[in-house]
Amino acid sequence: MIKREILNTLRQTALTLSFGLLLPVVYWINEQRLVENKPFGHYAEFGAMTLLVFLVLNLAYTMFASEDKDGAGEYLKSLPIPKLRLLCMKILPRLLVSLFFLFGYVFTVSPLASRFTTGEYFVVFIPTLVVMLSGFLLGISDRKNPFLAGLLLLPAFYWILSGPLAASIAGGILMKHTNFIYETTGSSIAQMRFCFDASQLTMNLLPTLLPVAVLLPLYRKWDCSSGKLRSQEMLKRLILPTALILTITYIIFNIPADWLR
Amino acid sequence: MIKLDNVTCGYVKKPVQQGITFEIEEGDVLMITGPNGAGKSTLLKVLASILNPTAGTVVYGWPSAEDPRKFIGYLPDSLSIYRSMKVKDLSELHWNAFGVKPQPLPLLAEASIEKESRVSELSLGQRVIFHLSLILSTHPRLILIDEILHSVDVHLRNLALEALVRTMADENPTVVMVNLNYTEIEHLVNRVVFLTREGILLNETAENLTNSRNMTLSDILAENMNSIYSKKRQEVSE
Repeated sequence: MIKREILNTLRQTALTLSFGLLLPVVYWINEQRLVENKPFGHYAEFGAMTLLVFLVLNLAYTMFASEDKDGAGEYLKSLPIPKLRLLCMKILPRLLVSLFFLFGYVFTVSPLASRFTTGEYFVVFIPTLVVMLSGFLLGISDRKNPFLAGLLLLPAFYWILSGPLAASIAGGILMKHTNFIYETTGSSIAQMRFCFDASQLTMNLLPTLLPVAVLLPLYRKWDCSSGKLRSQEMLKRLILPTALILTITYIIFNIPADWLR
Repeated sequence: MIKLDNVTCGYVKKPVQQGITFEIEEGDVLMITGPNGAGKSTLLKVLASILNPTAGTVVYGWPSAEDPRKFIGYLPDSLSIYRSMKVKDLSELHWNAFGVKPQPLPLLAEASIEKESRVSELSLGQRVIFHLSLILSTHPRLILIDEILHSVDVHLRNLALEALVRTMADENPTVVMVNLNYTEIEHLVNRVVFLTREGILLNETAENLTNSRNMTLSDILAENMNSIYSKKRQEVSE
């Protein structure tokens, strides 16, 4: 089974990355067309980033594509493979391939390469993991439900776009309110560390992982019953985490300036 | 022994069957029959442990700590299988999942199935034979077969039934078959459950049935089926 999943992952990866062959063509066309064309490195950087985002999304979305295409869902469920093992077999090859290319991009092509620190590995790892888990959950429910697919992608976008800002605002507010404790001890570094960790955990990590965390227990009951029914159940469970993400996003983008002072 | 206790099952919110209770003894060959839509295949999926009952329990007679699917061979009517895979690769996947050693599948040669062929290239009958071979190769304690044998030609059907009979003689598994064509498997069956949308109409040993009614099993079941449909016709005309 794992062999099959690895082969499927590599096949999907090769197919997605083969679109990269279009880059030199686009560059060449623009070279003929434009008076001042950008250097090829610019095309490579932008193209690689777009392809990698598409690769991660595609690997996640097609996690159960072969079962759907072959009509093998019932057969897969009849195999005595423990649920956790199946989850790992589906996710790990795709996660590893995604991280390999994403980190490859970060350390070679991306302008962030020189600024990348150890803690920032999570910046790439967490959304990739969340997207893979979301792809898995979509696969065991109804892959053709665009609304569910959209909602399952929301946490990854939150982690990239709103989460860091929410965490830094919350960290700032926390610093302000914990000043009186640390003023007596004089340990400002410890205070900063605490505020940073607490705000990262509550405003960034928890809202990002919450949707997947409330849906994963449904996998325990995964069986031959209607995938549509399961997707309805998922949508119901997603209401609160989604509301939380949207509320935080709304607040941080509408926060009064004097709060930040 | 397998015990279904007050089982309610279905795919959507409305259950197909409610409050089903019966027992299957070890080594029994049970035929589940009844009109279309009665929930025969659904019940078989519950027995195969791939559909959770919405209420009630299914207790298998083997260690409860183990995954029951490890001891079950299930041949669904949808013939759900990885069609894009090669016969040899799918066999390997199946054996790995069940933790059994690779072994020859003599039925394949008899059904002219090449190991290098993709499953999608096989005829429907060949697919049934291949799937059945895979199932039997794991030596299941419970074999579940859903109607699919009807759609196979006489030669391959006999091949499948012979393989099944051989396994029954050698390993004494419990066999549950969903069937509408009684004559072919009549001699194999020792118990019959006749299922209707309202529940179990009949749950009796084949011997008791034939002795009490002085008719063949096929005739008894055909009579039941006719009475259900004539009752329905009457209801519609009223």
